[in-house]
Amino acid sequence: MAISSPSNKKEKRWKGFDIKNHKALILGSVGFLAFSAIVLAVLGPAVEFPIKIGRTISEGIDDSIGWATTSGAWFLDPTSDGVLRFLLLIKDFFEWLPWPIFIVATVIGSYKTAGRGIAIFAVVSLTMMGSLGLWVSAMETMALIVVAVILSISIAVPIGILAARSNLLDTILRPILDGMQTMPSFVYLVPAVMFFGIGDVPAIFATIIYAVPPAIRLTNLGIRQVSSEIVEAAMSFGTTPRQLLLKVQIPMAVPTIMAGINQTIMMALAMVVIASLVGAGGLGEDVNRALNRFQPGEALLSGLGIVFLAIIIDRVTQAAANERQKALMGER
Amino acid sequence: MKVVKFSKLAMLAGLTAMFALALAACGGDEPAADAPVVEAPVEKPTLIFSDLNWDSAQIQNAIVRAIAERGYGYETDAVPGGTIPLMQALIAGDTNINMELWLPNQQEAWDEAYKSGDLKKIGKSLEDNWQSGYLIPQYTADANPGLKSVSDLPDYVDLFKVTATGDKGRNIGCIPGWECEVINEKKLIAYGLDDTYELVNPGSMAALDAEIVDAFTKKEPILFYYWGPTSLANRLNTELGGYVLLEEPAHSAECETAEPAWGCAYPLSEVLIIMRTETAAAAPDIAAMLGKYDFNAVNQIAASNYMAESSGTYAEVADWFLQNTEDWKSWVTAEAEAKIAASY
Repeated sequence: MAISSPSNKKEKRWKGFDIKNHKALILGSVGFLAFSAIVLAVLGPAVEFPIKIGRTISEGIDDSIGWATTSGAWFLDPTSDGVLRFLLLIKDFFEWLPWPIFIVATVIGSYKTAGRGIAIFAVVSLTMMGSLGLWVSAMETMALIVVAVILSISIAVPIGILAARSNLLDTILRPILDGMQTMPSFVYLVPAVMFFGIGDVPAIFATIIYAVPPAIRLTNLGIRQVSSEIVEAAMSFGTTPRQLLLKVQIPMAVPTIMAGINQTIMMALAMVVIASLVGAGGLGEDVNRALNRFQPGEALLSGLGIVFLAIIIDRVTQAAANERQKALMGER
Repeated sequence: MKVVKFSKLAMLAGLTAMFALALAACGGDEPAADAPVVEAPVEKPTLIFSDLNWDSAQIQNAIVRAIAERGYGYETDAVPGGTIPLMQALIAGDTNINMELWLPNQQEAWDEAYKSGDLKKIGKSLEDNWQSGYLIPQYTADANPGLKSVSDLPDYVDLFKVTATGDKGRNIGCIPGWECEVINEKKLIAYGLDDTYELVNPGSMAALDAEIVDAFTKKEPILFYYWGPTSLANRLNTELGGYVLLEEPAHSAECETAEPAWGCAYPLSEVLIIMRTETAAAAPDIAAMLGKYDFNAVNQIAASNYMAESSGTYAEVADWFLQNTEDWKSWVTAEAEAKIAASY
């Protein structure tokens, strides 16, 4: 039908299909069909895979997790304790902070960076969260996010810088970061409990695993993106590698790094409900409880609380990054 | 451009027509191929089980599915999920049997569904054998012979202190949203433990289980709420040195409403088998079988142990159960028993 169509173009394209150019394809297809036919004839349609090692490996992993939790206690327990004490400090601060101060500070901050629209949005959404009874949970979530993000940044920026300076590290890192972003969080949630005990600490670690990759990737990218002309110019003025990094490359990369941090914050907020499955408090716990009780309304309100926090933080950090970008352009 | 588009359209139409023709040809063949099949089968509903996401429910589902398929000739299926979505699925008719409806945890949903007449209590599941309360590991009990009852707990605060709970002892509570979460809070107050202990929310059953196993493996003291005989409680007993249930005042209906409320043990849980009313009517033999069904603690522990030893699937556990135990024979008709035996 297509051949008989009045379109000249079509006919030309059809004629362009020359069998000579596709010998490999045709031979391959025929070979594949023949192979399939032989397999079907000899082994039948439901061929069992000859080697089965899944269970052996998974049991080995179970054993090594058990071994690591006991023999790694000298490292895990103080780490867990340190993170927890840091979190308790931040939590106490957010719990102590009276809500009018938080709202006014947020409004001023968002007005300065992101403008009037977001300031108005912040007033409305924060007052709404207060009146919906989500305030205490929201502050607990804020504390969790703040700790997870601070830890993420302090991991991501150094690793990102190293990756920018070493192509080998970059190559090794890439599949690991892919894995961290796509591995279902439930998979590492339970081992996290075995390592750090129930509560906020495994939640923070699970959040970091999920949220740290964009900050690493974009730090790496940001530094690699600094144009070679600028680097050359700096070198010609006799900068040391250290000065080059600290005074040229990192400052130039800040907008990109900020974009990465923005992504990290958003992903950390997305983990809030999953984190509640290992005993983390806050809005995530409210969602978890409401769903276990079949109260979709409650769950939706708590979920909206997470959305409001996300929008405010997102707009403010993005605006800050843009401002920095503009300042850089001005400098140039 | 228009010409090209027309040709594409023509090609699409042609392909669609060919596809439709091919389909029609296939369709035309089918009745002919099916024609010589035996007489029309009896109209039996497909039994769709709520495959609740914990061990005992999945073992029971596998066993009842094997009985229904092998002994009574039903087709069965199972829809996996959590308590709440599967209760909604049952009410909506997406599934039609639930082997474990826990009361009072799901009292509200059950009362409503029962009133509507859509769901029917068919039998009891695990009843009378299940209890819940505060547990400590055997090694903690051995090391602290004075710790026998909840009223001894204030003297042992230091034992259960962790960083997260500060000066208070850690009392790991129930899954958020379950009825026991609210009851545990009331108990803490009724026992006067709210000054010395903090209820810690474990978040989910997976996390709770992981925390318990980890503490038992490291022989650390831990105070937690749990229920049994579950596969985890069974594992604690067989592999990890056992647990001790702290004594509590006996349960009574009055203590639930006294002031302060719940200064007493949990009652034995009621676990119902429920079916959609129309499915029970369409499959009376299955409803009758489930009425006699009694998967008691002995059966449960045996199945759970077999599963742990063999690392088998639930279906394999069901096959083992039907070939190696006797209790199920009193649930089924003689005819079904013979069919099941013959099917292996």
